[in-house]
Amino acid sequence: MGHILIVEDEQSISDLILMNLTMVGHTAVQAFDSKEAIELLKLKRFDLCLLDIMLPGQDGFQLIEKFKIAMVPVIYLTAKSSLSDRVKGLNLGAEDYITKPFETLELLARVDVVLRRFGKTYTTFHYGDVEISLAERVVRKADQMIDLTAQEFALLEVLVQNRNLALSREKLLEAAWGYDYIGETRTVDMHIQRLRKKLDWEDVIKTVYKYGYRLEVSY
Amino acid sequence: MKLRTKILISILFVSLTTLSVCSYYLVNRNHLDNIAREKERSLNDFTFIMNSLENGIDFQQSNDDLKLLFARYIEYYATREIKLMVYKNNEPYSASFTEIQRTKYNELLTVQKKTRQLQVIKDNDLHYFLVTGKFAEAEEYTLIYARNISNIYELRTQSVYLSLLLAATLILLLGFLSYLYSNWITKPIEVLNRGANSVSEGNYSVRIIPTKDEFNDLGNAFNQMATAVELRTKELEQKAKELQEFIDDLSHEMNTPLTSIQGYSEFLLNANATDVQKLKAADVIRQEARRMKDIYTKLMLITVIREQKPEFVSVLIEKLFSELEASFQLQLQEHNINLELYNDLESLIIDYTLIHMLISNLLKNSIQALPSGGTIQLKAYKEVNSSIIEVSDNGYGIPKDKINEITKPFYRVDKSRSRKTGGAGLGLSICKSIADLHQATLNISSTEGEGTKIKIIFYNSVTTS
Repeated sequence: MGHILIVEDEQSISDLILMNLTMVGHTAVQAFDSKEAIELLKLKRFDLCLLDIMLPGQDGFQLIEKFKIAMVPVIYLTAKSSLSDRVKGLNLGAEDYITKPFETLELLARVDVVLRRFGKTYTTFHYGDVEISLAERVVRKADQMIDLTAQEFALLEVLVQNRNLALSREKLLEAAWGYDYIGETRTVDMHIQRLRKKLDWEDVIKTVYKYGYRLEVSY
Repeated sequence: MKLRTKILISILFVSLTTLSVCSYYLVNRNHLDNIAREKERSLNDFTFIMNSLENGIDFQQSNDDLKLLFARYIEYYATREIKLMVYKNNEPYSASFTEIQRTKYNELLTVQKKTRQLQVIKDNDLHYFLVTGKFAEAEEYTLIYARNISNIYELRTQSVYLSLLLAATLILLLGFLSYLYSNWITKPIEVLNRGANSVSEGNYSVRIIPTKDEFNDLGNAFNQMATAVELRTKELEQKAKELQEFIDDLSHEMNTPLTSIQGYSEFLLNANATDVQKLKAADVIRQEARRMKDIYTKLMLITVIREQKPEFVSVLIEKLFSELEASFQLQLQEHNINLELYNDLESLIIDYTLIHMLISNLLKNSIQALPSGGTIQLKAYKEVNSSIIEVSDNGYGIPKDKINEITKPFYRVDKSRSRKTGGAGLGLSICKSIADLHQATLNISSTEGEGTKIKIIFYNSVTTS
């Protein structure tokens, strides 16, 4: 998982992003203005930066140069939603552009995409005696290969990437089966049952009452 | 019909009518003169011929001789383009017209003794002057004299043709000249017209160059109108721009708390969060909702101030100041700030509640701009033509380039600090609305690091001292 710098002057929003990122296993550091961001950039290496545009001091458009030099990919996170601002942001070399207000799952998905693009995401996930290799698309339990169908693996992958977050059945259907898949949410339930049985994860994949499921892991 | 066309047609009509009347009169007059001359001449000729016939002819001789004698005369005069005929008892006796039918001159044969009758006879294209008379010696014989006067009529026809030709030429020439003339006359109208079209197409900067005639006033009026339209349009554009800026700011201002509320509620719903995290999330949601409510309340306040009719009453400044001091006492103590009062005014005619709110806002701003141990001065004094209430502090001050912006809605000099203190950036906007209502102005002067001084300047219309 990635080490992420959050540059956002609004304390509550910065905290929110931090909580969500750590929830799914990333690590993150907060900076509240451009000066602080530049200091942190000198001291540490980051895999990704979430950058607000309207900041005290230098704005996000000016700041991106520093990140380019440090080879840190940038996702703009801003209330500026006009087309010209988006185009400007992407032209300046940002990897993505997310407008406020944003949905948490969307933010996490986009963060994952950029991390994967730069090879910064860890492709294996361990929990207990289960080892999931996202690159090889294999799952081992106590060093024994577990036989999973492609659909079961896709579902497991979505759960792992959004671990500790509750995902509704609709969301899971959309993420693991695809937008245009027309199926019933019961399909999700059946696949979840099979995953639980195969991995012996009855307690790890939790049912969220009247909503969906959550892969609950603690570090 | 266009004025230009009207002028053109009027000119052509008047000149053609005059020309026609004149040439008709001239042609006709000339013709009548010619006829009269011919008449004179015909009568003279007739008398002369009659006399010479009476002298030279003996009516007693034989019929054949008489006829021969008449024939000789007739032949002789025919060479001089005069036709003669002799009738006996109203029947052709010697020679006869072939050119003219007899019925046409029957009347002339009834001529009385010793008189002459004359008439112009027309047959086909030919015109003849006919004169008749009876011989004194032999009354049964009638002499008819005919003279061809067709050339006079031809002359008239030619004259008519000539004047028609002249008229046609004149029409062309006059048409051309009056076209130019009417263009010249109506040019200012054309210019005005083009100007008005320009304005209607949205080009408000168009102006008309003044002429030195009656159109001058009209042109000036037009220019004044265009100037007014231009000014209003610019004002409206400016207002629309300000409104757009306000909406942009407002949406940004609403976006931040919305993002927090949405994010934290999602977090509460979805995440496997600890109790501490849950508490924090709920607290943020509450705070942000409160912030939105604060913005809403203040915006409503600005609207109310704008719409409301203020209650102007005479307010004792001493009383206003002491009440302000009382209401701020706790806050001042908490921040360890001194408030110095100075009053030189007795009373002002103002809306008490609104001015209280205005000064409170300024005092709040000053408290936020001051470090512990700072001083605020609240003064009221008189200047020429105006009364002034002044709030000054020795705090951080406002950067020079930002002084003009600070009365704009949502503007904050230091974004992060005022967010922490909960400001919506609307305080000075409210102050400005209140000042506007009193026709007072806010004068803000500040030096960074030394402090800020804000004067509320009331003009004489609403003040007493």
